[in-house]
Parts: sequence; C-alpha cells; structure tokens
Amino acid sequence: MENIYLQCDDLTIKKNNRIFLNSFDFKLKKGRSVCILGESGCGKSLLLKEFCKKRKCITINGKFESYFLDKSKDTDWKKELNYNENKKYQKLLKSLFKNEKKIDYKIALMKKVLTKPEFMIIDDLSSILTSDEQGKLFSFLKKLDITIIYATNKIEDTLNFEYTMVIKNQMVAIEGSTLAVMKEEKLMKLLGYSIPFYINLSLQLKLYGILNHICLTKEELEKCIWHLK
Amino acid sequence: MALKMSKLLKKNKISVVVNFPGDLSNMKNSETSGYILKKNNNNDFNCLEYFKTLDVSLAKIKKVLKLVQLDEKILEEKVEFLTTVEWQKMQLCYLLLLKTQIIIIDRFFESLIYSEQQYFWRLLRNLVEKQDKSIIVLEDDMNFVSEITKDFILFTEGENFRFVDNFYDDSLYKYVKMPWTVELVKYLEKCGHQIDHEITFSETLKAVYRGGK
Repeated sequence: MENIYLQCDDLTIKKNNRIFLNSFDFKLKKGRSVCILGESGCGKSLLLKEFCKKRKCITINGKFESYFLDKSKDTDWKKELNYNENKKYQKLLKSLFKNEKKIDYKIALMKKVLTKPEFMIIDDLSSILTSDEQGKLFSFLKKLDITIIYATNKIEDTLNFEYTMVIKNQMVAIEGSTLAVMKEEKLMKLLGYSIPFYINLSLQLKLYGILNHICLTKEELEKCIWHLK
Repeated sequence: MALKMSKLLKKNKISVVVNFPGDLSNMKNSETSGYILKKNNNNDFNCLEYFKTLDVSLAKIKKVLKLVQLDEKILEEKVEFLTTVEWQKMQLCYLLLLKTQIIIIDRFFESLIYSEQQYFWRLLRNLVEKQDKSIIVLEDDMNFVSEITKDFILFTEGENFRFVDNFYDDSLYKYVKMPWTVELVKYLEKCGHQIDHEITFSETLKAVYRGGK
C-alpha cells in the first residue's frame, strides 16, 4: 500500500442522469504522471473534479482559466509581484515559453507551480500552451517531482506522461505505460485515435523493413534510417 | 469582419482559413449565413428550447441530432452543461434545420478526436456536394489542415490574408506551427537527404521510404 497517493475503487460518475464513467478503479503512486485521454464529453473533467474531492491538490483548468483571463485584460499580474518574484518568474517564463501569447495566463500558471505543490490536477492546457510549451512545462514539473494527473483529448499530449489511460464508452478501454499503449495501433484506431506522428511513422517504416524500432523525434528517425542500417 | 468573410468564401466549396484574427461571438444566424462558435455567453436554456424558434418537428430534430452524433437525450440537458464540442454540434444541427446556405465554423475540428474529425469532414463535404452549401472552416491546427486540403487562406498581419498552396514556403511559419510532415522533410533535407515535398502523412511516409531505401 505504500506510496499510493490516490485511490478510487468502483467509482461511478454521473451528472444530470447521465452516466459518464462506470466501475472506475484507479491507483496513483507518488511522483507518477498520468494522462487521461478521452474524447470531448466523455467525463474526463468530471473525473478530475472527483479526484480533487479526494486529495488536496492544486488544480488548473486550461479552458476555464483561459476564458476567465481573456475577459480580464486589465489585470496586470506583473504588478502583483514584488521585484524578486518578478525576476524569478520572468526567468522561468522565458525558459519555458517561447512566445508572449497568453502571457497573463502563463504567469498565473507559474505562480501556482512555484508554490511547489506535491500534487497537481490539470485539465487540458491546449488552448493556452503550444505542444512544445506543454512538453517543456511537464518536464519541468517532473524535475520538481510533482505528481500529476492531466486530462486531454489530444493524443500527442500523452507523450509528456509516463502512464496513459484511455476512456471510451464509460470505461477504461486501455491503460499502461504511454509507449505500450501507443504501440497498440489497431486498438487505438478502433477507439478513434490516430497514434502520435513519429510513433505512427516508425511503425509503418518498420513494416516496410527500413526501421527496427520506435523513434520519437526527427533526429532519432534520421539517425536510425540513414546511419544505423 | 462580415465583409472579410465574403472575400474568403468559395461558392459551393469548403474554404479553409488559418490564423483568423476576428471575433465572431456576436454574429447572428440567418438563412443566408450561420456560425458555429466555441463560446456561448447566453446559455440559460435547455437544448430543446434552443430549437424553439425553428418551425420543425421533434422527429426532424432527432434525425439531425443523429447525423451529428448526438444522443437525443441531450435535448433534456441545459446548454450550460454541454461541452464545447456538444455545443458546436448543436449549432450545426440548428443550421442544418434552418437550411442555412453559408456555414462558418470556428475551430471545431481541434476539439475532436481523429475518427470524429474524419466523420465531420466527410459530412461537410457531403453538405457541399449534395446540398450546395458553402462552408468556411476556421482552423489553426496545421496537422489537420495538411491532411484535408492542398490550399488554404492564411491571415498574416491583422486583417491581411493570402492564398497559400505551398506548405513548404518558410514564410508561413512565422504565423502558424509547421505540420509534422513538413517539419520532418525539411529536417531530412537539411541533413543532406533528398526527400519529395509531400504534405499528408501517407504520402510523406512513402517519400521517406523512397529516400531512405
């Protein structure tokens, strides 16, 4: 039982007479990063809310906070910080985020991160951060040893996490280490997903016989095809 | 922005528009043109009430709900409880029942998973081919755009836009993110390999195979 950070057994999620999840079992170890993948409306956000009730955590809801901050354009977050804080945030922001788009939100997000929470629940940041920015943010959170649960409907996002659970038709259709899940190409297709670009390309090139393992980047792919024949 | 929209329109075709800067949230639907938008500021009503202004039977509403892959139970839901995608599908239902000729869709596909994207793209093409509709798809995900079209309209500075039919033009990527396929081919070329300039996944796969064989 040691190291179990969050646990649910036989959880059912309902809202307004609609059942979203049935008999859901979940165990999360400390320091783990888990991605919950599911189409829009499958109950991911409701599940995250349920997790929040079970364990004290920092929550970030990308869609909601983006909407909220967009509406309050007058809010100058920089003015709220003192000089030292400002310097610290600016440095971190520059290293994590390439552009100044949605900078208010990014500062607000970093303010939450820098409280060094043990556990964060994050709901879909895709409307705020580019995929590169998300990658940098999640590897930064990993270095801080923060336990994370992230929900998304974008399959490429799963690659930022060690473990992936795919929700379909009120249940977990497949779960496991992210790479193992992505290698289940046929099942993922049946569930409605095309697998991430480089994994998909590697699997197809393996079938063609010019590659013998999965590459996750363009650099790796070039090296494997042209230099390691 | 209304004037701009007419310039983007190709009659009885789907126009794909990338990096659109305008705010469409106050646009009103009519039989001529209708909008499928992301945010809904006025949502204190249930889904059945949403169709109240249209003179159509419940059976017709249910038929169109099925077409956009929504369960008819959604009619009992309050609009405020719908997800973005459910709300967008509801708006599409409304426009189909209203028989709107021009449909403008604001970033609908980015919230869908792959199989839904395929389904709705086919549905839009059907509407264009069989019901003579004209559709403007506003979309920023270049990976999706590169799979569905060989040309698109790109907004650059403010309300300036241009027609694009070369995904390998570097100047585009000041405004939008490069699709995976283009990024890979450009990288392989930089490494000294000769790879054909393809855009879709399946064609790029073949090009990489030919180049690496």
